Amino acid sequence: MRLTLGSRTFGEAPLLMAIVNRTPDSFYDRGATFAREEALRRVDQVVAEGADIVDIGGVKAAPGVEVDVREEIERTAPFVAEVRERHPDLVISVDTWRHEVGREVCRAGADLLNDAWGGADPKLAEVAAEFGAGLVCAHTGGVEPRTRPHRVEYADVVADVIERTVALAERAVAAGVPRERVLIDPAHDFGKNTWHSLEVTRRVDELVATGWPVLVSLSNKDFVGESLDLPVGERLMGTLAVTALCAWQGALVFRAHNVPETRQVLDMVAVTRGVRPPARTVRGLA
Amino acid sequence: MIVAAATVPGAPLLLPGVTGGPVREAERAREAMAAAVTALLGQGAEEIVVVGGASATRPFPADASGPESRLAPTPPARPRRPEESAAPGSRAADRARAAAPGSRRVGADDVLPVSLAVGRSLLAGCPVPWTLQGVGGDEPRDRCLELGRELGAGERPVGLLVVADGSARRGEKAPGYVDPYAIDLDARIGAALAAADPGALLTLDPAGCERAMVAGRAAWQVMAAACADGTWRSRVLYEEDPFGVAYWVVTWT
Repeated sequence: MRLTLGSRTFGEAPLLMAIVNRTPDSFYDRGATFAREEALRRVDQVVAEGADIVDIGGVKAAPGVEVDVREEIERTAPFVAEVRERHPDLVISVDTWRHEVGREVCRAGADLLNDAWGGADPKLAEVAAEFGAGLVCAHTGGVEPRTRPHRVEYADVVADVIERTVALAERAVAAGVPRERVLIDPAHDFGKNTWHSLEVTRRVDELVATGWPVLVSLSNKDFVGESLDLPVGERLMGTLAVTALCAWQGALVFRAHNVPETRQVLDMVAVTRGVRPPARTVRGLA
Repeated sequence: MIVAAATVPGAPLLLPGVTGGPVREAERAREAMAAAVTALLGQGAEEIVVVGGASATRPFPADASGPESRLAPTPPARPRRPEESAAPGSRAADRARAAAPGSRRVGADDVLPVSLAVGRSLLAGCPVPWTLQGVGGDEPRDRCLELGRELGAGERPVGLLVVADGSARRGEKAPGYVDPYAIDLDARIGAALAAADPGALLTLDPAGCERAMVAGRAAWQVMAAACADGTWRSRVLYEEDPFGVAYWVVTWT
């Protein structure tokens, strides 16, 4: 089954989902694109740098200042409408777990609801179905939105990821979300310690084998930081390494902050896997 | 008869190997924990009873499999096919069992809770026998009292090794974020431990402790009941919250 988002159908070559935060407090950009103008500029830039999808978020993932439904809608929905106007063919995703927000952003033109909190609000799938939008079904191990993992154990974390995300995906399809618009996401760091996220990284091929398109969100996360003992601003190389590993195993969508670097890694892996032709090969061929 | 008691933290990162490379804060805590075990033995304990939070109140076998593979999965040894590398008790065996149809999940009851695994890790080479006693994290006070009295009832000199933690809500970076109530509650717990005051531990309210993500309430109340009849001299060997969770190493001798 080929992934379809908006009006576009994709093949096997990996896709880049660029993060655009309409938040004052997200861990990596710390409010750099909270303002409308900065956020619009970021969208233009990531599109020029080769992003296939933008993922717009109005609430930071970690615990922090409460953002209510109204505030989240104000941060995201008018912005989605504006991005849709400027980039008619761009796939627009919105990172939210709340169905009220999902409804408003779909009205404004969003193509995909990125439910990073694993179905915490079951009505979100119904909203995706109502608008024919796509849905990302993520694994959190069952934790509440905006909480940190604490002493989490899994008999087999990958088995748990597969069981829960596939169940969410099947539930979404049963609720009316088109099957070709549903993705699964193991959600590195969400409800997982670093060991768990590394295990998921090593075994992403098992998720790919379910047949559902796999989205991974690795960018600058703590599991990279803890693996290399590096702070947030110094995790790009580590992020790119695990990006390559997941791309090699067949993950399809890569949610990322650093677009040009990620694009290059994804393209190189795609070329190596043979799902994208080399740009120009003349060496020894003249 | 309880001859000495010690309380130590029970975070997963205190299990050997779980931090990956050495983490200074965890090493410091483990040094204090080892000193606490030495103190128990120094009081003539002929048996160590480890008490720690569990999903239910029951003893655990000394050789129960640990939670390490659930907390910190690592790649299987090569060759990867489970039937070639599944020595009993190995991670590969756990994985093979986990992969078998109908038993893909290892039930939580088959695996040692982290608290008791941490306690057990301190007893390698212990010269006296030891046992592992789980106490349900949500046991009401009365049940904790009952269990504590039972543990203190025999004639044999017992050293009690209690594995328990304070709140996990001590700051913005804490696992449970901030709860000002947690700071006050931890101060009360710390004072009770430092004063060797069993009565004060018994006043801890289960609901308040749950809200503050205090993982040690039930185990401390077992300790309080077991030690209720003695007079104790306390030594605080360690009292820190390096990761937003309150840890204590305190001995009552």
